[in-house]
Amino acid sequence: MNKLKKLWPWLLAAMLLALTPFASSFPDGLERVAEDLGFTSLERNAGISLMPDYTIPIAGNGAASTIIAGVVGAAVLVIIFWAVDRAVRIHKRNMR
Amino acid sequence: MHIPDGFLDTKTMIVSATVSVAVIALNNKNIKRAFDEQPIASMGMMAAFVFVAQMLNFPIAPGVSGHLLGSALVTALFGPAAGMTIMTAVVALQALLFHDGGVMALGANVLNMAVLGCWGAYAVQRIPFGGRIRPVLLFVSGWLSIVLAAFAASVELGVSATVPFNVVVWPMLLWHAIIGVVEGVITAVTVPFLAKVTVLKPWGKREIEES
Repeated sequence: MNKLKKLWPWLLAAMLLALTPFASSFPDGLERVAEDLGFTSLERNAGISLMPDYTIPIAGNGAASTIIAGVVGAAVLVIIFWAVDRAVRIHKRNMR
Repeated sequence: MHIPDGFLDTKTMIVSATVSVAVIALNNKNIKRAFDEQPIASMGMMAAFVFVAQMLNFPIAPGVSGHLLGSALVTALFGPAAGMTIMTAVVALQALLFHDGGVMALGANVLNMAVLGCWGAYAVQRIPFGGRIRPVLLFVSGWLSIVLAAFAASVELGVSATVPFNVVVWPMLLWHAIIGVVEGVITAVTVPFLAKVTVLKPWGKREIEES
């Protein structure tokens, strides 16, 4: 039971991740307004972008590419917070 | 919702970035408390959850889509200070790795989605009913976080003279009022669900007032 409690959010995230290739490709609210009012052309691209539009450049444009990009992004966030967690624990131990 | 580079002028980008940094710095104490008292690993898990949820665009009308924001969700679970930190991490990651939202416009995006989204949601969730979270409050807070962010983005576009404010604000509010309904429903369903099936509990108001 306790294990299941920890598993649930991951299960939800995995389910969402499996759905990402089917995400709507319509422009979102802001992009649509920009198109309607004609200021889309102002958009400037950054010089480099590792994974533009949630795809891995070498894996093309398919569903797998999107899912890998999602896994990478989620993993980076988990690692950042894990590192903060470690730092806080070490700090607390040193304070004692 | 993510403002790309080029839409805002230098003055707006500097001011919004300054405000974002100032709010986060002023909340240093609250963030510290939140990180002290709550499982940080769970925050990382919810950050990953919000990130994946934001990838999922759903159509709201022919030719328009929207996606979850998540600031009301994380605010309900971890409080506004930690919520702000989580949302900032997500928005910064999107700008740096995925080219979703400009790197130069990051300050404005953090202000709209992390600062205003989380504190707006917090106000709705915790002021009525003596600070007890109710599903209807979760719905309203989700809706408000989206509409507030859309309104702030309109102000920023107006101030940058990209497009007149009174022209941009109505379509922005219209589309995001619709997206906000979906956000509200997801928030109102997900928070009680996570509270039931996980160890996460809606964050208590008491905790911030005791300090």
